[in-house]
Amino acid sequence: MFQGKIRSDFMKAVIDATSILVDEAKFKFDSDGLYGRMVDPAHVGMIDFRVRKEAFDEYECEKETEIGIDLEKLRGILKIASAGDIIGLKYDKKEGRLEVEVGNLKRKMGLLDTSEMPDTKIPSLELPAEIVVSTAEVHQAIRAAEAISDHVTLMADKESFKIKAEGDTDVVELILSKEQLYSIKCDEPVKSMFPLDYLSDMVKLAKSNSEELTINLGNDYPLKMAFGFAGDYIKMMYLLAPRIES
Amino acid sequence: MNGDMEQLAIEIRNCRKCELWKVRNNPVVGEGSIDARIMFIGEAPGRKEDEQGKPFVGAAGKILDGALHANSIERKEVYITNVVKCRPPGNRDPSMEEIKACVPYLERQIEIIKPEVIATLGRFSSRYILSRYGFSYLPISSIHGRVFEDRLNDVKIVPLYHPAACIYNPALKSIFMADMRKVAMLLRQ
Repeated sequence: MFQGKIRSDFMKAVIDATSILVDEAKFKFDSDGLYGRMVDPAHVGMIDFRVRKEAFDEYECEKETEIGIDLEKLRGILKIASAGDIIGLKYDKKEGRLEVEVGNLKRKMGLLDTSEMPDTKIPSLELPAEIVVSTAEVHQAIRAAEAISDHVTLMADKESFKIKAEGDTDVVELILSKEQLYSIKCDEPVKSMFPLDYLSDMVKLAKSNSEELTINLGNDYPLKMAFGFAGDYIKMMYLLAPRIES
Repeated sequence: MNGDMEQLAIEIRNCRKCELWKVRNNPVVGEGSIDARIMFIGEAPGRKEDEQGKPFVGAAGKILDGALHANSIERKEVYITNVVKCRPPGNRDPSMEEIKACVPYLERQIEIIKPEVIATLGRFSSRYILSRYGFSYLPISSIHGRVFEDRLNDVKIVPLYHPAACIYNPALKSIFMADMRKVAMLLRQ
């Protein structure tokens, strides 16, 4: 059995972040909190998130429990709550449904079978560059890039981080020097290209929740993007496969 | 990397993480090139494998060897292993506890070899490998020969029938051979 109380906007952020990649998700609760890891059907993006129990106002979990969630359904329920409202979540295996409490309203939600939902492992990636950057800067560049292209190139070297998109006639480029970044660790230049449809949604979600974004990059290699909020008690990590031009 | 695999082999030979060590003759670590582009992953060793400490050396192994040969793939070019490294008595299915105890070894083998293609042999390995890479498992009869591409790990997974299934049901042999041709084509791409 699990029960907890949490700010509705925290839970909405988790659902929104996950919905970028999947419609159905397996959420696991244990004594430390709630966590999940999902890959999109095309196997281009992965999300790994953890909501530590400290992010909840109240949290109780007797033993590790997993539930299958229809994300659109849960999102619909959470829409009833206003930002900052505290919602209650309760799951009892005997009942087999998730009870969501918004104010005096109780909604019992049917759950999905998790037995055939995969237990994905995080790929072991050696990503040589780590950049901590303003989420707003990245978001602005991605928005500009979307106007001219469907893909974007991320580059880094010892001194700078760059985002570049090229259309048929136009070019968008963001160059941030070492001094304009929170930090950069990059011994050798790295460069990878990514599809904007995924990246745009991921960055938009990050911007809504965090001022800082940690990006790990390699050469023609997946991108790792991480951010935290709710006092860093909620952590999100996305992986995105590169687009490799043949 | 060779050293990593040797270290792993020592750990497997000394493993007592489940009860199977008590009834095995030899654990079957795996065999082949650590630079292999393709890994074949079966379920668990059988009697012959347990006797010799090598994977797929019995009747099922002959079918696998024949399929490799028919596609001009040499056995020494590939890496062959199982999800469970010790023989379950009487060739029974491995239990969930045995699989859970043993898969960290397989995980390390995958990490060392970093294959481009993983061909799973039978439902146990197909279920584990597909789930590990984030794919939902469906019965082997509906997914055999299908290429599951994981772009995050840059690996392609092809579930195949277990060659032993072709012994009990000869009609499956032509399907197994056709699926193996698909695997060989992936290597030529």
